[in-house]
Amino acid sequence: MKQLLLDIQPPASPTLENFVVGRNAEALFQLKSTIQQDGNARFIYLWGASGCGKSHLITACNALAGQHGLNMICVDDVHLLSDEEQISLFDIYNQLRESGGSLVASGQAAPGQMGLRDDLATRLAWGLAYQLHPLSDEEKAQALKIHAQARGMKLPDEVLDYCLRHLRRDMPNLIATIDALDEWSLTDKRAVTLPLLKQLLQLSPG
Amino acid sequence: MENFWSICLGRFEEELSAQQFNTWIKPLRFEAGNGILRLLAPNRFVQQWVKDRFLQKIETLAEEVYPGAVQIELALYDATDKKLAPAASTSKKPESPRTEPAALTVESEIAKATKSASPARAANVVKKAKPAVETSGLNPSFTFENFVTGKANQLARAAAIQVAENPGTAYNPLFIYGGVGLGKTHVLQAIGNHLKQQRPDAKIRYLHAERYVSDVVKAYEHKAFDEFKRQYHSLDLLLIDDIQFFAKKSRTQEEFFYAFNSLIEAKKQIIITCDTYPKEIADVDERLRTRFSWGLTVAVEPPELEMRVAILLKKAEVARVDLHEDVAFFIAKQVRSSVRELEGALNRIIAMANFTGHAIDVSLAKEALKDLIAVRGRQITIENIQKTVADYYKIKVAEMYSKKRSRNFARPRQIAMALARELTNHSFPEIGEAFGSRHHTTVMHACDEIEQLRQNDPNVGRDISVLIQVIRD
Repeated sequence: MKQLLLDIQPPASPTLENFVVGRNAEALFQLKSTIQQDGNARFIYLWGASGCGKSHLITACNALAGQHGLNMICVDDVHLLSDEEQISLFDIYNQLRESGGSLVASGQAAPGQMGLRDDLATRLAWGLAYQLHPLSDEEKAQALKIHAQARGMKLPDEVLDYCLRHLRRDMPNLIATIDALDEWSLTDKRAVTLPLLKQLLQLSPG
Repeated sequence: MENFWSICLGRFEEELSAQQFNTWIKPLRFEAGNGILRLLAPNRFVQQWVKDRFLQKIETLAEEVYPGAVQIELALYDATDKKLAPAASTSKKPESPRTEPAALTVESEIAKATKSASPARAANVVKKAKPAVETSGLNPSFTFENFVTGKANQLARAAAIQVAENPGTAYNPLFIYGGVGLGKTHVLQAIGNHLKQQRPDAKIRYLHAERYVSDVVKAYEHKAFDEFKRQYHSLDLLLIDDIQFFAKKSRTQEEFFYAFNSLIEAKKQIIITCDTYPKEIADVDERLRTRFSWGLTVAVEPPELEMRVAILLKKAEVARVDLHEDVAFFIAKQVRSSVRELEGALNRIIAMANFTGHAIDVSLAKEALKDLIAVRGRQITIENIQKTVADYYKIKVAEMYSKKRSRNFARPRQIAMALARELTNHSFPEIGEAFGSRHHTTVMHACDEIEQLRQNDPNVGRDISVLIQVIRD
């Protein structure tokens, strides 16, 4: 029987600092100034295909809002909200606007392109809307290194190169592979190497 | 006590859709101690939602499990404190400082205070952040002076000024309708601000219909209808936004019916906005709809081009930004639907100019607007890359998978491979597979070769940028 790994490793929490910025410098800058409340922008909407960093940024902002006691609400994946949930978000938006609060939201497409209620969509478009652009391969490598480092994992370049050559290169998949590799190396008490990765890839279905 | 929460989880999982359960219930963290059951939500959105929809149910379940007084608290948890979650508290590893974001080393006193605050205190912060019920709900930044007028809204504006000057006597109620983001709220607020200036002691209340609905619910729960009536029936001016939200809320409609009658009778002014005209409001009582058209009904139409330009110039002036007319025309032509989106576009352009340090011109505006109005990019697949490249070089798509090595076929095939690598997330082996089961090293070789050509042969470079544009559109 396989040794089960006790999940003692805290997952590396996404922060604004460990976000690999790529072509998204302006969006990141605006998020920071919204959190520091030193700009005019109180409502930010981020959109883009999956794996471009929306959830990372939303989670990071949410944590910061909690730490700084900000009147800020962070909502991921607005395109998945049901009709009722959309009304609730609409209501919350109006309250935040009234009370000087702020909102950071994300979704799959530009505000008017997701079939949301018009009154909600135009409100998301009212603040600053940013498309998040996916990372290049070099930036993905950088992001994975940061991720591995935060887990306290040694990730040799050849393993990283192999991942970028042979795996699907969307971030969720790459991160999941790195995590699985780390867990397996801890369970089996073997160093992270190319042979270990290859073995893992054969183990996993598909 | 953990047991109680698993009962709750089980019950909700049965009753809710998987998405609802995952969104609202699953992220909650449960703590118990000193006779208090504490539910911690990851953010205020979830907290509010749970409070509104599920708290009562949870309380009922708690009473079943713990007969007698059990208190349930709903608060926020600090997302960075994941390490302290019960599941991880047995960890032998010391908390590692590297998971702390760098920004926190400069955290303020407030941040420290909040961090150490009990969940109950965190909940208070949320409460305080909400506007007090007693306030008028007026936002002084909405005035008649800064309301841009054009053909689309001049009638509404004229009627609004009439009413603001002669509340309760000119038209009662004034019913303003129109699509979203056309400035209905602005007119409504401007009336309130105008009257407040004329008569500082006037009792004015602006609120969104959704808020009225929840006030009714609260009054109902706390059996506080006297207080509710006292609050609403004693107003001099009631401004109620988006009345279409009353649909299917029969209790709210009934309460509003009484408030309406009592205010009109006392010659107090009521102003209502809606997304459609009175007869067309869905799921609202006939007797209310008739009453809505007792006074004057005016429409706000979408702004025409000149008015959109005027709005942009006005907003830019307020923001103290230099906006040339040609840029304003460019934006106004791109964004037609609502004033809100128009303002959003301008906000985004100003933000980009500030960030990049470039002056605001048409090309900067064009770049910034991509984020706001771009249609979601079509999913780029290897198939449509193959088709586009084949069409471009006037060869058959079949040549993309064929084994023919003649240059006429091999070069476009290599270009298509390189584009597949650049524009999709597929791996080298997957790309090789899609090009007639070629080995992944063949794809890698193609990518290297095309990269070289792109730098050294201007024709190839141009072809590729044209192809990328066609594929992305």
